[in-house]
Amino acid sequence: MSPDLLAIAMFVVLLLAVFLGHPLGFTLGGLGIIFGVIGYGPGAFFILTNKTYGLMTNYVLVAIPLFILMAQFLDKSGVAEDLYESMYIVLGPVRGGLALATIVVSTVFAATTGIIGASVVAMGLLAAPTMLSKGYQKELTAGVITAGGTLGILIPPSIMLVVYGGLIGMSVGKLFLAAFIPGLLLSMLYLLYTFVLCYIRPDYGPPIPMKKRTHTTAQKIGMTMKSMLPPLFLIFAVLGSIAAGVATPTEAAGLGSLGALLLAVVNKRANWKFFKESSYSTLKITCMVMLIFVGANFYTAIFMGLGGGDMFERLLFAVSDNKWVILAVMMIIMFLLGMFVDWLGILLLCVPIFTPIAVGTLGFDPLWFALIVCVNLQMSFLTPPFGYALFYLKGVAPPGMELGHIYRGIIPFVILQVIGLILIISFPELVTWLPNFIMN
Amino acid sequence: MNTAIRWIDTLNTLIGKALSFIVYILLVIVLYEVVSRKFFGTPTIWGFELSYMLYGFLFMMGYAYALKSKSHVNIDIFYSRATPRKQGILDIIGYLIFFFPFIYFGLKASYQFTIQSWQIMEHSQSTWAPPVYPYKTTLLIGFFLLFLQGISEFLKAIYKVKTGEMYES
Amino acid sequence: AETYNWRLVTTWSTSIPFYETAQHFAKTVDKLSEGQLKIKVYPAGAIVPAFQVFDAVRNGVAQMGHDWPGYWKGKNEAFVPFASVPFGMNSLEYTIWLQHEGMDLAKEVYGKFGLVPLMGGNPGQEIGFFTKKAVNSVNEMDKMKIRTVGWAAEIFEKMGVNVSPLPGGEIYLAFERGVLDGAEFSTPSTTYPLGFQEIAKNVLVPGWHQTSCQNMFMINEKAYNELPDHLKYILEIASRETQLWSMAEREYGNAVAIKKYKEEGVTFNKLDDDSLNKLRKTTKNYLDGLRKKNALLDKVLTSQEDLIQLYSNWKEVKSGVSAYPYGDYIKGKHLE
Ligand code: NA
Ligand code: NA
Repeated sequence: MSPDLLAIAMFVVLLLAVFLGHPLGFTLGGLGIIFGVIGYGPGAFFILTNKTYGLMTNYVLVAIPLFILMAQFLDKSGVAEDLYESMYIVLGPVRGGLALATIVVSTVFAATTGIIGASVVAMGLLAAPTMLSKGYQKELTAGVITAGGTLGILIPPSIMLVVYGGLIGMSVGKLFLAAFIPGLLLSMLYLLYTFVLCYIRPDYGPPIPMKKRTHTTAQKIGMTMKSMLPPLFLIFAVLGSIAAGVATPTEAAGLGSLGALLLAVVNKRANWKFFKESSYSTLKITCMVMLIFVGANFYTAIFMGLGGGDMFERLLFAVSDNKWVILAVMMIIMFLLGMFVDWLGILLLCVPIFTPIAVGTLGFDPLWFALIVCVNLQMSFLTPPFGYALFYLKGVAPPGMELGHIYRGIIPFVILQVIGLILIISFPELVTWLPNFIMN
Repeated sequence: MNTAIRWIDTLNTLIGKALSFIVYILLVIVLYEVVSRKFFGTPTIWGFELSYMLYGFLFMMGYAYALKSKSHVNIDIFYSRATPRKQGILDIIGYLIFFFPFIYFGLKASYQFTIQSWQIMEHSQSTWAPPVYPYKTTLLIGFFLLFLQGISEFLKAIYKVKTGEMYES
Repeated sequence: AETYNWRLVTTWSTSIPFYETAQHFAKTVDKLSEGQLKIKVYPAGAIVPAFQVFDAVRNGVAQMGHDWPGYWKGKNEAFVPFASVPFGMNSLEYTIWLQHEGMDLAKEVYGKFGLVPLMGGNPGQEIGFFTKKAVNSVNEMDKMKIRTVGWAAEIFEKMGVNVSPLPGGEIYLAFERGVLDGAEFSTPSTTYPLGFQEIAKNVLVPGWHQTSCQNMFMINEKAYNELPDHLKYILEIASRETQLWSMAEREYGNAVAIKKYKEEGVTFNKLDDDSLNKLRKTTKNYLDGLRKKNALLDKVLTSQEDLIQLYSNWKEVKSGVSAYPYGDYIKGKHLE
């Protein structure tokens, strides 16, 4: 078989193999082994240890268990419940209010955590059972949780921006600043869509019944203020510590955990059971995320070794010499890849090939290009069949919510992200304004 | 068969639960580094390396426990609708095609990787320069525990095919 | 004739110019062998992570690797002097040494691990330490937190400077936000794209900690032995050409980078003689300690010192006509 055919076969077989229902990490890893033996040569299997040990020595990724621990603490501290509860009371009378509340809470928490796993898992545990019990449509519930939770990787702090900055040699701080407005823009689009959808179809998101609306406006404001304080404290602990030069992004995850722990202590939740269950869950979820990392890293390495990267490069140059067409093709390639490969794989696959072309040859602004790549990449968490955010939700979803609901639910939100991406491409100020404003 | 399943499940549960507390040590180390640097102006030379060693140890040793507690995600569009017997068949196929080749090569490569490190008593290239051969050995042990758990899960799949019922521990 | 398709894994991301050095080598081999030996170059992370390159090549994941040998310090301390030594040789002296005794010693060290080494380019002296406030001596650095790695980190520690060994990707943010007060990365042209000049407008020079930055190729012994003799020779020729190409390209790039730094308002502060002497002494004591523990390291460093000794006579005799612009020369700038 020619290398190109082998690389294509790798994709197609993966697409079919996953439906066996075997754990994804092993499926990716097993396919890496099979195609490695067929096409790569005898050295292939050793890549598995190179990649695994590479992950074991990756300091940036130490943030993963810490952010997950923080999510566990938060989950058990009652902070998110309080915020969610008060948002529910404030937004509840509105059609789709609970869905709007989920997006708002996700956006706030996106500013405290740097990874997807933790935020989707936290919102899945918190919002999904409530929304389903209040009669919200399963698809809409899945959509707002996964799309909202995915904001965590775009709105700083963000592991993706840290890795991107490291790969290209760009200022992570600048990337953080540049990502704020695009992240908020997506959040706005989700809110707008959900509001309009539920306005038209109240059965998708029924408002609180009249007789339960007992809170006065003053009470609502008081509740909101009170419940917003803890998350603001966390944002201060995480983003504030980075901004003030107290901590690196990885350390900030630790400070966030400490902050969440303090909140749990204040709420009198921190007992032996609290610590025990937090650590058990942190281990299980960390291992779930890291197994996918190992499998996907190994699979991508074999794919690259078989010449999959070259195939994409040839594809790109065969299309056109117009810079907007090439940019569009890059975006489409990353979108399509994002359906199958994890963000880290795409980042490693595409960014080294695309950035010199986009910035060097075509003359696009590096910061702007970085951000449209990152907005595109965060879509990969949501695009079926392999949207890791979808799987994370599936991992904690209440009974009755199947992957099918999640797949259907995410489609409108992916379309919204494409709209967001087009807006950011059309109006570069959305990216460049904030860093320019702060840095000058 | 049941005895084997019980032994393996118990072993990995004990290891997983006990070692999960390492995340608190990790947290303390990360916070110590911040305090030591920010308030005393003395960054440690070991903080960042010890952090990733604890994190790596944590997830390598926990893979088996996560498999035992069904935490690893899968695409279960068809799987979740299958009868226990059909699920058992799908499991057997999955374990034979993906898991066992993956774990066989994983064990083989990590054995080679670990032995090479012990042979030269390899140290880290950092200033702190701790020995890394014990750390690399966790790769081997982690894959081995995962292999054991895979056997247990495989036996459970056979049980499902044989009896047409889920395995209840 | 049989054709060979090889993979070359590197410790570099594509944004680091050393990646281009590996690509240059692969292209040269392709042309010289008329396509008989094709080498595909991979950046760090594409197949294996940067610090896994050594184990990967050793175990046949790829036939070749491109590295900075200092990364393999933990395998054997004797790798470090093939990369750089504080107060050690410059890029020309490295090339002279490698051509005479150095490559034989490299074969001995790499050979212990089933690897065959080749020269891999030398991009010149490292720029020095970017600092937020201007300093001219090591004494002024005792309250500062500095990012550096390797032998230099330990030498600084011994002189009372606080060293933080942050990995490459974390430096900028840590530096920008004040987690660090100073940082170094590499040569002027390699450091420039990292944007340290946006954070700190002072650089403490000269780069005593790395007076040059030798790179090496490594080849899996088994793959090497399968090659016909003429291809082995082509690899050697291409590696020497790459060494020369890299020196010329990078030294030019370094000079351009310095010009750009100056245009952006960066000040270069010279370490005072007292500091340099203290650093030199600490370096000597430190290396003496290491040499007692590792005979192979001692052998390599002795060979380097022999070359330095031999060459110093000629260096002294020929000195005094370093090429400076006419006006500068007349004003008294005669020495390098
Ligand atoms: Na975030
Ligand atoms: Na996807």
